[in-house]
Amino acid sequence: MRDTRYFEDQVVIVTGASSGIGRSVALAFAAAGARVALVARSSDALEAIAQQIQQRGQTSLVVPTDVTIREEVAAMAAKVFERWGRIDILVNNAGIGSHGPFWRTPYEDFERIIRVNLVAVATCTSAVLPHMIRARSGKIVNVSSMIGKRAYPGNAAYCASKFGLEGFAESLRTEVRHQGIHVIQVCPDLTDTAFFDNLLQTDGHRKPARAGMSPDAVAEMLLAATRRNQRDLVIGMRAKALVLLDKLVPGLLDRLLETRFLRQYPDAGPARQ
Amino acid sequence: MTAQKYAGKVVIVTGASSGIGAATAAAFAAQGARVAMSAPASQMPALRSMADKFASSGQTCSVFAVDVTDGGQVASMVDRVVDQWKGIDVLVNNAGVGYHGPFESMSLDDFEKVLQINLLGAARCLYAVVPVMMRQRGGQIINIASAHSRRAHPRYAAYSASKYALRALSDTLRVELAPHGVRVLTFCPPYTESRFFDNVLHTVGRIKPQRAGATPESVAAAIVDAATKGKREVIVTLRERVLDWGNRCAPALVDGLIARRYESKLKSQI
Repeated sequence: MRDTRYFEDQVVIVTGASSGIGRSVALAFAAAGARVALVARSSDALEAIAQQIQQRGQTSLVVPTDVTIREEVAAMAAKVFERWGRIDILVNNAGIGSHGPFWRTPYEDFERIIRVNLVAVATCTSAVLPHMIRARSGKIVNVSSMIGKRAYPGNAAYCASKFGLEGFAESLRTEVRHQGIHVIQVCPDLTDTAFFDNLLQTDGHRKPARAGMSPDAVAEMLLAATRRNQRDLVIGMRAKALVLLDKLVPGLLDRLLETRFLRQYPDAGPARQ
Repeated sequence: MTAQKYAGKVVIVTGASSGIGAATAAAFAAQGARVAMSAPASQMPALRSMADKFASSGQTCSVFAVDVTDGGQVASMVDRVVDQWKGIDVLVNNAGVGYHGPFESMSLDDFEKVLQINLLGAARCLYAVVPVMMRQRGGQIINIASAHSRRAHPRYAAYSASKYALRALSDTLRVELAPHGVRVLTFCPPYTESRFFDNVLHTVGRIKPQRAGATPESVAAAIVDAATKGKREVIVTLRERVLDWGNRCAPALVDGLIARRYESKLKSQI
């Protein structure tokens, strides 16, 4: 049993809570004393997590929601506010990806990824912001990625969505500071989740053999960053090195990534004649 | 007279009816390129009168009414350019809109519209043009971003999101397309005296900076110059380069400075 109830009675909304990082974050907030609204499309998975939270004597609320549908998001925020009378923290975690060279990813997938990973964040944020502004307090936590800091080949749409999220967060952060609201970006390296099973398209790209970080470890760091209002948290040595190299020698990094890309997708180079 | 750097090359410029787009089309045409210019149907009169001017000085161009939020229109323009001129050497993704106002009062329709044009519009053009350049084993993509793609500012949440995302798209494609001989440039123009600020979807308070902007012609010259040199990314003004470096080294400090400036602006408006 944790003795660190840092988020006692705070109301936290976690999107994409049915698996992976979202699930771990929801469980961690509940364990830290928060009341957690579990948001995802599938109510079955959410019910199972809610049950787990209840068994530990903690509090949650299942709100099945498709974050890409504005009316559902508005109804979700209204329901949470109605139940608990406040919204302290929004964790924008719901996200999808796709692997493969840009030209082999259908345009429809590209747009879908932008809608889920970026537009839906604006939708959820805009639904909770009035509550936070009224309370003159609140935290928006965005789960981004290492490759939301330095774009990787084979992930055009995903990187575009996560970079967009970074620009959105950086702008919003300076707007809402005087309203007592903090915007926090969390950028983990590869994490062991169902992400790779949920890709829209894999293009022959297999789940990396190398073990990623555990979602529980990422969740713990996310909570710590949330607690101290850290603007930006890059998790993992490789991720930190990547961000640094991109700041200092982006052109060199281009060439390193090109080699890696062609190893990953040997047929993505020009056809030999 | 110096040799024309783009003699006979085929260049597509989107959002070519005014501002940076128009000046860039003219600059490439002056370097001998055959220029395909697109703009929404409502801007066709401006585009046609530009085309007449090009033709009277012996330059080659064609005009297309294209809404970049319509993938079909984008694809048919690209097909026609390839039919007509047998290839595409340069794509300038320039079409864009602005929005100026706090996120808390921004409609989600406007948020989506900014992304639809600035990001997905560019993506649609890339989906149509990239296969052509891969077949040719060469080409150049120029994405017109903004210094907002490196450091975001208050009242530009959607615009910054769209330009950050466009930069990511540039960064990914630069690496993916390098083996195919296609180069990708992210160009961040400075504040420009163009119609952009008259074309924003929405504005709050004073928007046009009091300092004089660059002329579209000087920006276009810088774009052609950067393209010729095969650069990966260009931020034009020293002021914006300093801000970019400040943001790389001490982003929290830059947040604080920008937020404080924004807050004092808010106070002075009350």
